[in-house]
Amino acid sequence: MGLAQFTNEVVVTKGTSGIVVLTDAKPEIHRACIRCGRCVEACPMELVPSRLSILGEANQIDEAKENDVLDCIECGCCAYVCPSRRPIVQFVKYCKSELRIKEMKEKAKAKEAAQKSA
Amino acid sequence: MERLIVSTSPHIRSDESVPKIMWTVVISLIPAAIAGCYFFGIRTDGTFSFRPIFVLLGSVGVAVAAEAIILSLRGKGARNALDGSAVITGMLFALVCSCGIPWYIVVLGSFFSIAVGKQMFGGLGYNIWNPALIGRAFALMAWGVEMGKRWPIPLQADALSGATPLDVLKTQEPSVAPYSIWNLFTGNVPGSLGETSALLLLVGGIFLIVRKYVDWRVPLSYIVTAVILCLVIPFKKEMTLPWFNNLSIFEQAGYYAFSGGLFLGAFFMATDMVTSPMTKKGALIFGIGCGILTALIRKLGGYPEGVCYSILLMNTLTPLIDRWTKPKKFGEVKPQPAAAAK
Repeated sequence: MGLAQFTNEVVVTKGTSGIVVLTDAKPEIHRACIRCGRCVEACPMELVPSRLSILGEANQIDEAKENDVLDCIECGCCAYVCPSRRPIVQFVKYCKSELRIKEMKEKAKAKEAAQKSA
Repeated sequence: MERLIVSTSPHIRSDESVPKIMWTVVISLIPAAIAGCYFFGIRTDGTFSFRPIFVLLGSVGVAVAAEAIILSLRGKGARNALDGSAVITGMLFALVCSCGIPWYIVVLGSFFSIAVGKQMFGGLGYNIWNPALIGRAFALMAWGVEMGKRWPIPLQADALSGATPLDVLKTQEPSVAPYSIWNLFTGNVPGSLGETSALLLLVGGIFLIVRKYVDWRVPLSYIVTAVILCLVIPFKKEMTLPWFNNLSIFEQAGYYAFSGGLFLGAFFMATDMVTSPMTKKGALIFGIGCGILTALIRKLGGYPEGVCYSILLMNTLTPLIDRWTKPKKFGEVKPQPAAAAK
């Protein structure tokens, strides 16, 4: 899965395998999850993406971690099948980045405490 | 330079959407609704009474209007009332009521379904219970006589009888089945507007299963469990099998399946996406639980029919079932007892 580019002045590097240009992409307003279970059926990692997207939307990142958000491979199957057009992958990425920030902060704190006691 | 939209993958979506699902369910309910309007709209002299159609359209109109008003008050945009979910709720509320009910029950019940059953919890997707069944439970408690004792006689519009097939079984315990299986299957029996025609409900239900909007596990496990338990549990201890002298055991199974609201509940209410479990295993548990509760209420409880309350009770258990049946993530290893001891 590639990343969307915000400008057309991005260089093509050796690792670039392809460029996809979509003509009819339009921003979509997502609705609330209707719990249809399509994402649960689609998920190759057998997680519960609907739950992760709700937790990400509500900023409950610790609960998202308990629901194995870190095991998500961000394939996007859940967001493809979602009839409510929820940006599930975006919520998952948000949870992961918040968890990373939290972990870094905790590590820095522990280091500081260790230095103080030493 | 043109503005580009930056978002995460996937950038292409399937063409499924919530309004598409909801309107498909509405279409699949139309055959059963037409059957109800036919059976309860034709008078003995051949003229047509528009009462069932008024009940149906009134309920849908009130539901959509209530949804639009509450959505605009909540600042969610009144246009979203046309996503089809309010139409389903209004239709289902009319279909689970007798068409002989006074107009104010139609208006208040339909409004209650949307306002309290759905919007109070946060609208589509957040409701815990099936909104139409909440409306019916409310109407049954508030106007017990009007809701539970005024059933129209098919093909004799304006005539109200006091008993559905299940009422007869509950109160009179006859040894001979009061209605033929064929009449029960096609819907030519007293009952609520949309529940009687098992045939057309089955057509709509199979259409939804083929379109994959409904998981076949829920209706199948629900109906099978309810029928088997209805055959096994006696009304009274001294009664013995078979209950009806004029029917074989298979015909009796058909009798319990086609009478009451079992088909309507199993295909259109227990399968409501919002209020039923997400996983396949959960769907089976949900269906079996509904079946057990329906049979217990029908045979041992105070009401002749238990579909409404059985589905509401299982809706309450849905979050718990979802927790129990959470899929095991790919590659997950069972925690070793030795490792856990360390």
